[in-house]
Amino acid sequence: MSIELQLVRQYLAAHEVAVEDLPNARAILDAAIAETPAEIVPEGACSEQRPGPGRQRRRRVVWAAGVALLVVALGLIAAPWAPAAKIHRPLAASAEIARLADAIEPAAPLQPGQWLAIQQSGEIAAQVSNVGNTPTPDARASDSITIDVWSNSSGTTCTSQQFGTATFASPANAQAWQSIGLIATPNNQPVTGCVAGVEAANGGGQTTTPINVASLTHSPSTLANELQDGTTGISSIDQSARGATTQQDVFGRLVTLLVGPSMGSWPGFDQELLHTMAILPGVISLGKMTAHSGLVGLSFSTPDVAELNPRTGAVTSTTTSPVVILNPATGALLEARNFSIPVLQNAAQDFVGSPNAPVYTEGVGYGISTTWIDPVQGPGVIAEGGLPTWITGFHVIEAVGNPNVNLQTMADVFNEFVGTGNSLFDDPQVPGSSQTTFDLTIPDTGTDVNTVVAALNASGLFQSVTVKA
Amino acid sequence: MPEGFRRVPQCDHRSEEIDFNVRTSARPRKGTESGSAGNNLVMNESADDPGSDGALIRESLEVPATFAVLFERHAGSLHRFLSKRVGSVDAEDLVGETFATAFRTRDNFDIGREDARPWLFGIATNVSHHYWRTEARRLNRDTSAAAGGPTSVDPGDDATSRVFFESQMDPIASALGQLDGPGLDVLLLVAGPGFTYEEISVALRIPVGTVRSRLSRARQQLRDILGSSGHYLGEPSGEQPLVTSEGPK
Repeated sequence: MSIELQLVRQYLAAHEVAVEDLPNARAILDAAIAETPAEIVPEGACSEQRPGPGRQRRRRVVWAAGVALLVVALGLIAAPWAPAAKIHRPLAASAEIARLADAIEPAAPLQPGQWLAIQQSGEIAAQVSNVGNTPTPDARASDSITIDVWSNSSGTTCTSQQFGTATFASPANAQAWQSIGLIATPNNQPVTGCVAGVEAANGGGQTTTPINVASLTHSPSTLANELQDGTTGISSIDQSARGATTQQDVFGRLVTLLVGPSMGSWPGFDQELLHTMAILPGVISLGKMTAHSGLVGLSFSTPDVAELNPRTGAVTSTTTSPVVILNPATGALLEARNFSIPVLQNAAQDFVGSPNAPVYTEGVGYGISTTWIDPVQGPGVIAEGGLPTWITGFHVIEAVGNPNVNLQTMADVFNEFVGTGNSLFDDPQVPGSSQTTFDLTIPDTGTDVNTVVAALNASGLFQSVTVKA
Repeated sequence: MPEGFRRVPQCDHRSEEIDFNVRTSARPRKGTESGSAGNNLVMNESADDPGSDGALIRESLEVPATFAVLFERHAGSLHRFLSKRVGSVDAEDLVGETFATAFRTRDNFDIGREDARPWLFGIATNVSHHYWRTEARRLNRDTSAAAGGPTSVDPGDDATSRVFFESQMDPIASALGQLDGPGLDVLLLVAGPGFTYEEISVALRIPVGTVRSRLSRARQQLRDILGSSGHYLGEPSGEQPLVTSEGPK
């Protein structure tokens, strides 16, 4: 061990406190155990080891839990006779969401050669607020969107997104849209892309960028705090609200995670998200709601936020909260409304008519929110043969540079193959402090994989060259 | 809903790729915070031993009280770890929070593993982050109340954590307080419980490669800080034993 680590180790060295001298810590754990509804404490087992205060606290918690259950039960009994109200008590929403979370069946892990396929469709609302310094309040449109996601167990995720032709609420909207250089029928549809290797691990992506959730905590309480604080580590989630974060913003972040498209998730991911939703402050039940698919589910949201005129008190604007509709039996997502999908922000460029368009040359402020989106297919497991051909032609070549080789020297070898659809990602310091790992992404229309591998090997600059996908 | 992001239209991604030809680094590194789940990277150990941590956690899914045996086994070492991260006064409560969180999320534990320590220390690391964020909010609130108006809120935990380390009046602690958070997490798990790269990967749910790079960066930072403060002189990099001018502090 090197000296700086030895110094830190010496600093950290301290006498270890005996477990018996940590009664408060034990009491906190005991309280958590006591909250478990199905707890069966074996006589003479661990309970005898607990210190007195812990047992007292446990009894208090059990008593409190009983009272809470009674309150919930009374609330449910009283509900039919209560005045007609759209919004249930938050406690009821929390209990209901927790029940739905428990109802979710964790997906079985994918086997090699298997892909998880999901298709979503919905409608988005786009608004350009300004071009340069000129406000453009009328430049708004609606559009249909279809998103397909395929992912495998080795970390490759592919997405396809297809916009329809934009529709306008009025001729004035259409004229404002076109006058700033936007078009109604988007270019390059569908937009497809894949990420894999170190690029995927680092949250990268090309035209479509799924949310990389691999590093998210598995603890609902921690996730709730991170959503509140904007510290999940996923920039598109953390930066999705500006200024003081409202309950609406926090709920919106969670809905964005729930809808995805995401990569790096795990079998219990959706279950954790619902458990997190159950403990988020301000989440309310809106009762039964019908999704665009026609399915009826239980819906949840946060209160809409109204802005008031400080002088007159009149409502000047209302911000509509995200809504999720969940299958009442399985907890599966049936629909989400009024929220942001990060992947769509990158797709807006496909509505730009030409490089000379004002939106391109002068700068633009715009927003895209999802009016609604339904999972219409899947998640289903398919074999490689069921994939679109553009995915089977997609490859990632991962090359690990020899130690201490100049970065530019290695980049020069790659540059011959960059462009025309191929793209390059590098991760310095990986796998060692003087090394760099490169991922060259090659779509089905790109360069022949074997040609690239041969050239990289021939350069003698790389420790290993591997076709990862 | 939050408004859309204010942005200037980017170059088409397809043309962005062409730009790579003139770049030294093909693309800026995108946040090492994210990574693939560590449990994909490490072979599972056997938990056939009925007395192993994994077997206990499995049993606790049916008989929750058995989880307390883990407390008997690991609370002491977690307390020592947390007392160096948050101070001895609050460390005990955080040990309790760590075990309570572990208990509530035990169905996420890979019961194929024998040793629960990486998982527990990972939770303890998160708990300590949450502690410092809460402290930061409390300090801001108190400062705000005293000043009679809003103050800037530091959403992270680094600043308050740094004050804690610097208050130790120990040059090593002071240097640790200056490290970036992710690097500090890895360094403390190596130097404290002595975890391997793979165990830290499990604890922090980051790829092994990220563990290596974070540790490398943290060690380099530490050398630079100690060197510039006159406490430590050494080679700029490498695993070779280094020489101190004043001996280990």
